[in-house]
Amino acid sequence: MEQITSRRVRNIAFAAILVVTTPVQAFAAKVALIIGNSEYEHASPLANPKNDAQAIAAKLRTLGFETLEGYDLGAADMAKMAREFAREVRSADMALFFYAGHGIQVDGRNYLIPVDAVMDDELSIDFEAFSIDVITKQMEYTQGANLLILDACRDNPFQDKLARSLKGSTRSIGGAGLSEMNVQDNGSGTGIVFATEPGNVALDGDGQHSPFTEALLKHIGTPNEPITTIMSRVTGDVYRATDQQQRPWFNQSYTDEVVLHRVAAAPAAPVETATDAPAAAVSVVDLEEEKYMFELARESGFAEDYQAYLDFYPNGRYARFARIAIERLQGAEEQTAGLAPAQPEAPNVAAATRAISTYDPSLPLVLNVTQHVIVAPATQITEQALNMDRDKRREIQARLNATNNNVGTPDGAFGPNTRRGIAAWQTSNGLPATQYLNSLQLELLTSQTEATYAAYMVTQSTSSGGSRSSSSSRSKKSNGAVNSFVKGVGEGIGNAFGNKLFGN
Amino acid sequence: MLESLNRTVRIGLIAGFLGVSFAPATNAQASFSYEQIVTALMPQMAADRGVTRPNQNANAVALQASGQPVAKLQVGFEGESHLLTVDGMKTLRTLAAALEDPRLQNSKFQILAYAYTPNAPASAQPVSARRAQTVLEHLQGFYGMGTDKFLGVQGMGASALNSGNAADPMNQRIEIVNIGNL
Repeated sequence: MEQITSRRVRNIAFAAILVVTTPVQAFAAKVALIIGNSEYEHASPLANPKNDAQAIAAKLRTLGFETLEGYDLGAADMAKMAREFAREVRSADMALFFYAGHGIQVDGRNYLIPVDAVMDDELSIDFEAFSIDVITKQMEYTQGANLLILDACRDNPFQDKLARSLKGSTRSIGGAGLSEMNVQDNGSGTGIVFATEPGNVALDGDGQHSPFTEALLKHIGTPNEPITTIMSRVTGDVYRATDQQQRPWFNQSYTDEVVLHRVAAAPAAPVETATDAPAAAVSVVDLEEEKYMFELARESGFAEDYQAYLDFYPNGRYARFARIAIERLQGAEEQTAGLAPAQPEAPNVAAATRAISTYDPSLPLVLNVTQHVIVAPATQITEQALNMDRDKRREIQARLNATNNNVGTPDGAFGPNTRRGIAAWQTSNGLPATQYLNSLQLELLTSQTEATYAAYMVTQSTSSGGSRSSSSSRSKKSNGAVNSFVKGVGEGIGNAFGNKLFGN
Repeated sequence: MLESLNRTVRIGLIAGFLGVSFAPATNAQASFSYEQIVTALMPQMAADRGVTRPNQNANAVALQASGQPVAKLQVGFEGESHLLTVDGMKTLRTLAAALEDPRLQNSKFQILAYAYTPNAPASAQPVSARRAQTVLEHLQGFYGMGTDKFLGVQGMGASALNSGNAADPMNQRIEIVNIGNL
């Protein structure tokens, strides 16, 4: 079982486990390297990185990742892990790197700090710290998508120590946190997630996990959601949880929609809550039976048999393998049929489609980001031309909140938060992040948030108990269409609108 | 609060496609369709449901008097602005589809926008011009309809009121005029 699921590589038992070859290759070509450094020998230990990394690793395994894990690693072990990872990524469809611990930027380059680092002079950067470039360079060789998640921006003691020793030297140590970085590759792109904006400090958190990891654990397993969507949810959560002090930052160059956890036509997978080990007192007989069904499917190799297993055990021990297998089998089927592989096309430049059904005004409006929308200038001038009054600006802020780009309580004034929110929204739609809107973008945002906004109007009109007959007829009309959305976005919209919008 | 809500509600209710002189308001949305727009815009074909043919309406503008087919649409804008409502965008979605109909393949169109702002008469003309431009940009931006389809846009201000009633949605209409095969 251990062999099938993953390889947990700990620094203690490193050599012994490296040689294991597993049947996983046939299943999952998703590889993750996870490192969590807490017990610093020459600085005060951090409470959460190890917990964070372990929780993320557990989560990633449930998503079908083959994990390489290392905790409290010294420099030599980090190098070893990186090397092993490098070997794996070359055959991977998706490569993910997660790091929690101390990090530092020097000369605009980012370094991760091993637990045995002293970092008391300039040489220590080259010989004690671990350059992220080592990882990113290896990721260039993947054919698929890469994702780096760096929760390494915690305020750290090495920074001051090193800054003192670098005085008068030509090397410059960056401000707090890590610096922005870009990665080129020949696969389908790379995404880099920082727990906070470049140059800022991330919080370690009072709980068991850092606020960032907490949010990541909550959202990363959402089936069939592209990473971009997941990250905007994570951003929103962290931003709210830290009283708007910390805003995760996501830079990506994906050429395809990248989905971490693709579930093949399965009923909603209950991974949302599965952050902890499956705690079930299941009888031995049940386990035997479950295993038998799975074995049966594996022997037959038919997607239908895997599906039959899933029908019985949607949360079963082998459920994720069954889903992966189905996905693979269906992918192979499509390929033999000469069709495009399972990866959907990039949504950003999708041409506008006009199927007959879209003429029906009762259908929701779905506007696509066309090339025309991408190139249309969005500047201060185009935004001014919209002539938005304060109410309208409040509405825009609320709509941005509804897209999980939290801009704070809508106040009708577009400050830095709103600008950042606009930029984040633009980025997530594949638009240039100009921080200003134009009419097309306003229309796009309006269409995307219509359901949530209408839901808000409904609650407002019913709770205010007005005697306006027209408003109640509107409520009835939109209720049905909107209810299903309300659940999904309730949290966001609740925070977003509060009661202050429109002065109540 | 009350005002904002009312505004949205009003737009929600009146959105859709209205026949100018005969379709009662309650039937307006039901009679709104792709087919009607196409039929209204087709050269030399009569249309009689929810769509006005030239000279059927006392308020017909000069252009229509020249016999060019026209579709009069209720496109939702927020209040007296040129910002499209979702219902307005849905109307444009249907319009975009209709204009691509093979029966209109060789036609070119002009977009005319009307605005009636009795509280600020001077703004009617500029608002209508911006509305016309907004409609064009929306059709170009989201439906890829280029300048090959449209010959121009024009803000008509309050030049041809449908009625003296400030709340009459057809005082805020968008007209698509088929100016033929140029």
